[in-house]
Amino acid sequence: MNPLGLAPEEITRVLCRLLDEKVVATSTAFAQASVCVRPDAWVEAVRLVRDTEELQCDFFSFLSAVEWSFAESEADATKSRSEESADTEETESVYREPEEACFQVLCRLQSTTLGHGLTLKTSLEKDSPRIDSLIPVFGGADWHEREMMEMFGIEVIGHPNPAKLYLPDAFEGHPLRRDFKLASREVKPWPGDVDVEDMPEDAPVIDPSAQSTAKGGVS
Amino acid sequence: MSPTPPVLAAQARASAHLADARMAIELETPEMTLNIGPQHPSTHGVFRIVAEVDGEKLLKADPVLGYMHRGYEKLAEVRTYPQITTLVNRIDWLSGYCNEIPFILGVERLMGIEAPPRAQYIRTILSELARISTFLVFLGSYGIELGALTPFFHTMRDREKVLDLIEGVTGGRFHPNFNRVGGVKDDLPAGFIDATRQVMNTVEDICKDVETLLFGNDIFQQRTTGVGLIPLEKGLAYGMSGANIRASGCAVDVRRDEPYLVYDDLEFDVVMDDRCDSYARAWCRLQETLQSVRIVRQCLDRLPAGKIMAKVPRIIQVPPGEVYTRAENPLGELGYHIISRGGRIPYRVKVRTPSFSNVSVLPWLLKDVWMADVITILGSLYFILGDVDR
Repeated sequence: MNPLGLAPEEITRVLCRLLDEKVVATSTAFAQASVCVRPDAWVEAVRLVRDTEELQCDFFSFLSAVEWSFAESEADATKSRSEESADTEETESVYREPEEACFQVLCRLQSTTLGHGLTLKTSLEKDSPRIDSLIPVFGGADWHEREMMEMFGIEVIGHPNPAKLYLPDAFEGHPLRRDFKLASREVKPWPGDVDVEDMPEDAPVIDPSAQSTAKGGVS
Repeated sequence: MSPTPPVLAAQARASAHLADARMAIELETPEMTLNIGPQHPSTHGVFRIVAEVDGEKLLKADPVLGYMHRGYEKLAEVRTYPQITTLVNRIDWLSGYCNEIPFILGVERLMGIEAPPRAQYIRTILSELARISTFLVFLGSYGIELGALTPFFHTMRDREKVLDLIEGVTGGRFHPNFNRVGGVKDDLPAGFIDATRQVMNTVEDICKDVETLLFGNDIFQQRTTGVGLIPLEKGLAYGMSGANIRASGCAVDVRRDEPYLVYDDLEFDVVMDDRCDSYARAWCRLQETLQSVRIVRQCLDRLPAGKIMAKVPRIIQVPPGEVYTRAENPLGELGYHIISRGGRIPYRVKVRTPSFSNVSVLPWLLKDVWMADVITILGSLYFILGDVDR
């Protein structure tokens, strides 16, 4: 571990100080810093994370997105989540999902000099998601943004070559959206799913010590 | 038929000679578009470059991806966590075992489980064996790409011995699918430690041979030195990782910067070079193979006894959370951003593969280079197409 690196709490604090009201939410759940900023501050935030003396995140790890959906099929998970979060305290170390359905763009940046890293996020509205291109800050964002455009249908403003990266030009739809169903799965349900479906909820815990000696391993 | 008068024959020869001479001075080479691939041996898969060339000079290259896009991120949305480890094995098929590590570590982190020390050591040993086998392929095939056939046979012969070790433990040569949430599937087989020590000696020998015979070869040096220069800032901005960035003078290694498994307890050097060229990238991989041998030997010495599985529920259910875990794969930094909303199936798994970022620098790198150097550069970046396309 690099001793110069900042702790997740310090990283979020630095960004809150730099961006002030442009920070929407911060999280240090699972000992990882993540900061959600307003979409209009997206490029500015990435630039600050790279150029600020305390952060120096010069390594562009990846850029991608996630669609947060609260459709009926996902309602179960959502319900239990809101019940749980009702009694937990408002701290940034507790993991929290976005409140509303949205597209969330993620960008992971690491520092090669200090060793720490953080995930920058921004939430885009569901109907016409648009985001500014990061290419002026990190040239490597080019392909990542092209992938995000075709997979999620998120428009990247200012991208010099918004052509499809993986998919054929004539392909319709955005495969990583939640409403894009796998065709094979529609025809035939996954056989593996049947196996798990019938298992009891409170299945017994396997004790590995009972069986590990039978293998004849070396120690 | 009457013979050609000698005067006319001499005139014809002279004009032909003149034409040749003019050609040598100002050969007109119209720009043309040339298709490299998708089936080219140096691309380790199906990779296509649409190149604009002027004579022997490549002006502009536009990589065309997607021939191997299998949509793992979508497939992961409809599979349970143990099923996904089978999938991720196939991302970078030369080092299948390494692909499982960050995913399993991510799931364990979300569930708050830690594998017992013996399992961690077994994981480390297998990761390093997979790294050695991957680099042996590189050391051999890079020679082939530059016209040296012999090293390939020797490295492939010894790589087979490494694969035998992996197969002996896991049952699979390329796709072990050996990790379980909370540990590994089986203990090491009897005789594994001695066999591994022997193979490590073999690997050390072949590395020394390759160093003298291939890296010491004058032609190899001339073809790689100063070819495909990647300055550090460019490499970092494009997210390049692994030996590619270490050869540009940046000593980053996830194994040391953010230690996982048991790398914290082990001694090894982060190999670095600041020459930024193809030679440096190949040289870094050669040295890293030797470092892996060193790591494996330490693990064998210190291998603790004990359980290989932690206590885990029979059905893997992951509480809501979001985590990014990364590991130093042979090709670079592999990471998974796992988002769980509870239950047996992840909500989203973003796979950050090293080759995708490493290759994304190509449009910038392949400008005004000689055609013969294109293969040198492609080979030195060492990417696997399954890892680029996912």
